[in-house]
Amino acid sequence: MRCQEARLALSQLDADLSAAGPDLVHHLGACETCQAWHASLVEVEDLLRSAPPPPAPPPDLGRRVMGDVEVLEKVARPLRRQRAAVAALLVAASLLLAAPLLTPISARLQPEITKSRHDLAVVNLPTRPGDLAQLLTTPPSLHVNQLPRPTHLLASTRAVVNEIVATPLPTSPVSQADLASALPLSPALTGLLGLLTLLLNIPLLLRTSRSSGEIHS
Amino acid sequence: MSQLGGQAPPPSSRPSPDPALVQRAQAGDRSAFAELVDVLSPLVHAIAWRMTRDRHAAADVSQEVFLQLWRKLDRYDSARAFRPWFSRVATNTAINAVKRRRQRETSLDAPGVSEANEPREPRPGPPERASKSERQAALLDEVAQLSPSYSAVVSLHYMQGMSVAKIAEVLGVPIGTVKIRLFRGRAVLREKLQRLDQKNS
Repeated sequence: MRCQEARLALSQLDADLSAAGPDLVHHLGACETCQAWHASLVEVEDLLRSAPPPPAPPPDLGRRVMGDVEVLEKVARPLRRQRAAVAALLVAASLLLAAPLLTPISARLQPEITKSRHDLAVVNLPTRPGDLAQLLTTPPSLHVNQLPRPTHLLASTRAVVNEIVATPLPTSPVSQADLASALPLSPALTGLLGLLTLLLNIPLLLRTSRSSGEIHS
Repeated sequence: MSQLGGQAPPPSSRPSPDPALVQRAQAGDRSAFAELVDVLSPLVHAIAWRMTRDRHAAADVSQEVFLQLWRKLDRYDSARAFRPWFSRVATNTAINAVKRRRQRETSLDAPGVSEANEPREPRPGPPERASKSERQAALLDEVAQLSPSYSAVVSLHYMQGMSVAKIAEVLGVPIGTVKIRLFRGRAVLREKLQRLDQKNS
């Protein structure tokens, strides 16, 4: 074994060499340079293990941490509320988008139930993938009230959905200015108004295009 | 290197936090969290100190660790032991905090000046024949100059007495990774110590 190989092997072993192979042990017994090299490795471990204890934490550490926590909570709470509101709006807008797409499917499954079934289906929003599948494959004999009901939907989301469902779909496009006056969002979130306006207008656009035969040729 | 007057108690004498205290803090009780900070601050500060060897940096890193603990406390499963979960959060947060500090410091340095070659608080040069305590202090400074992932492993194993398997669990990395970091870190420190001795001889 060469010195380079011995040092590579030594650097990958614990200092006590309990796992050293016979070649390494033999080399170390004969090579003073590698013995010194190993001794310096052992010394590093000894110096590290006998390091003096670290200093005590600064006495005001707890006060500083709690000051940070207070600031964090002041910033995080309104942000969390805003995020929840925006999420609720996006869910509501997505539902409006999905509603006209679901109409032909539900009409095919149960032709006698038309718009009222559709609205109830929106109120009974499926919130899990399995629920959606159940909704779409519900046999015509199943009563509407037996459809899966949401159990873990946010109360705020449910309120927004109910509000939107109770409101007739607009017959003219919603403008961004209308939305801005209806939703007093903070300046940081006004950028979302354009997206929300687009989402809210999609059902109307789809309905218009379907009636003019542009989608189903 | 500035030292504080007091010294932290050894790891064995550090009390584990009362589970009821942890649960109160988890429920958002700030006074309980403040108590938790008091109980855990010696451990957190010890890790931060080993990785920075700087009083202000260690305090800042400790603060970051506790702030992260506050953010993540609701994810702690109270059916499991608190200390391993906390060690994981604390060590990983400390490693990331030290990395960010070094990136900031490097960006402020003049081009070509590496922090590894330029300690932040250079100690006065040791005498011709450095004593054991001086060599040890120089070596511990070098530990703090290692990459944070390496300095954390070296500190936890040699100074906090943590086993390789436990470190792997805390850091969420394979045992082999911990061994590699440990052995490479030790080899780098050996070279540093040798260079120091050559410089002084």
